[in-house]
Amino acid sequence: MKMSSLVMQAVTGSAPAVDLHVYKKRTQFGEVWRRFRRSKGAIVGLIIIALMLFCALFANFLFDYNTEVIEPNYDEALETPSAKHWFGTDEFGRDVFARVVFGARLSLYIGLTSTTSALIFGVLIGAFSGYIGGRFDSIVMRVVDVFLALPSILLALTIVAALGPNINNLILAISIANIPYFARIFRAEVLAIKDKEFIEASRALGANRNTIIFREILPNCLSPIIVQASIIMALAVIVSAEFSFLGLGVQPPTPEWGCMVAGARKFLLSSPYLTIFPGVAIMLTVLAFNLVGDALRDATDPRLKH
Amino acid sequence: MSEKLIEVKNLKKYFGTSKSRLHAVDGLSFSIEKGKILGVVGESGCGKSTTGRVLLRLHEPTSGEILFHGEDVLAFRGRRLKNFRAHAQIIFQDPYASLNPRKTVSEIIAEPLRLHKAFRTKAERHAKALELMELVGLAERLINTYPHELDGGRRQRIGIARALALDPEFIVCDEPVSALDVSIQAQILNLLQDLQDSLGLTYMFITHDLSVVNYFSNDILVMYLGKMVEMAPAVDLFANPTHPYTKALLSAIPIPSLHGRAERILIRGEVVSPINPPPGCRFLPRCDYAMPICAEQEPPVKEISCGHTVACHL
Repeated sequence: MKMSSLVMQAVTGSAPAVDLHVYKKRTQFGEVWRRFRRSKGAIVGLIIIALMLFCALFANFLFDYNTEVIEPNYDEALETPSAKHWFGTDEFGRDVFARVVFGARLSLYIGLTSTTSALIFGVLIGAFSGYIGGRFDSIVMRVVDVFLALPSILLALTIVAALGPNINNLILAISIANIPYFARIFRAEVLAIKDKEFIEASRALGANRNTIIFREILPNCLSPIIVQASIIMALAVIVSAEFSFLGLGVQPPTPEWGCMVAGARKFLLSSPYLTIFPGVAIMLTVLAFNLVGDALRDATDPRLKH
Repeated sequence: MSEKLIEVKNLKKYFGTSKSRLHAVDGLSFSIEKGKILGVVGESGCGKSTTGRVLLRLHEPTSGEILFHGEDVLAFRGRRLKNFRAHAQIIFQDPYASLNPRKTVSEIIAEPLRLHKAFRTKAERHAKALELMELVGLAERLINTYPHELDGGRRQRIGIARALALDPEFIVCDEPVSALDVSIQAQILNLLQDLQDSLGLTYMFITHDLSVVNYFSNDILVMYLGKMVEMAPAVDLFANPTHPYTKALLSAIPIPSLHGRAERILIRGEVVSPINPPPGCRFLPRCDYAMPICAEQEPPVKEISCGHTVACHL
């Protein structure tokens, strides 16, 4: 009887019950956003990322991939920037602006997928290693140490060299190289939290290991992971450009920024804009993710709460 | 004589490796009758909290037996264990550490209901959470606040509501008021007492505050370094303490009186390390009445009157 009336109140919030919607919860996300947006750099970073995302999502509507981005058009080769071709044209007469726009799609795709998969696997490894502890933890962490001891670029290079240069292998290589960083950070977070009394309370209530890790511990460790993800994201964009520049990643004529810079090297003195525009695109993207990462770190630091 | 709800026989819990072992709980036996309150007192590090946690299977005991309604708790696995967890709950000492800072009050209180699939819909769980909040005296408007926005007393009420969510019979109260202000302590103690009366709960009340157990408990168990020192009905223990340690503890309770001071028995020295303790009485190095036999033999547990047991050679 009493129950059902309470249900009614909770569902409808009608009189004479107090309207529960008044007691709105202030979410963690809301708090972080409030502090995040006070940083000018963060806003600049967000705008750049939004712009890149826009290019990546709507590249198809701006340019036609086959005729403008891939197909040579020797009549218009090596034109300087103009109203028709904002960033000029390359040695095959392809519009550099169109290629940079399509390059955003590729870079963001590689960055996002490799960061996400590194994050998921890193968090899983860190969570179980830290939570289970003991010998299992020691073994897993020594393996992680071995991966950390190798420079991540070298590791990625080895993986690509072994598997062959293409986009999927590049993504695989970047994510494997970054899993140890996520695993390390997340394990440290888990260790700091797993002996708190609220975890014990959860066990006393009958929660199993997975429930505790994903519902009790994970929400308390998200901020350093998100910060790390934004930094790894910037790194992934650089590494994919580097590898494509070296011919180990995306292959021409695909419009990858690193690939474009590599192709334009020959014209560095005669047509410098060919290298400048994709180079600036790489720089802006990396800068944007670093700005956002820095601001996120500050915004999620509980010691700076005011 | 009513039914024994929980019975503990020769419970031992050692921590550490085979080289050095910390004897946190060493051969403890007691039982709690249904609807009664057992107060467990002792100084820091004497194994009170460990005992409570072992009873709830939060730690696995090294050896010994725990019976709940006559059933072997240590044999519970899977579904049975989860079911047992619904019947036996814990209220923690530190209301700042025992609540997940990322969850709102209603999420914390509804968590046990979700885990045990007590209700099908979120709205039903929410309604039950509101009911529990009313039961423990939390205002409805706090439903969507986070623990860090509330004071210690309110947080402890959340912890109590969470423990009560599954209608348990037995609750381990692990120093539930020692982290709170004195004025709030009284409120929480009254709340716990009211709940015990109305819901017929059984408590194991762990504390280092003797005046609290006196006010609260039916029986009192005094522990020293993982061992039972003396156990007796509360009235009996306060009227007639037998063990030198109990005497000293009781004499330390401040008496609010204008005329003179009660004579205190001061205990010399410090608690010896519970790592690899020597044979004999654990209280020996600090005891005023030590005899040669105390160093050689562990004192036997003697029943000196009905329900009053003591472990001493005297």
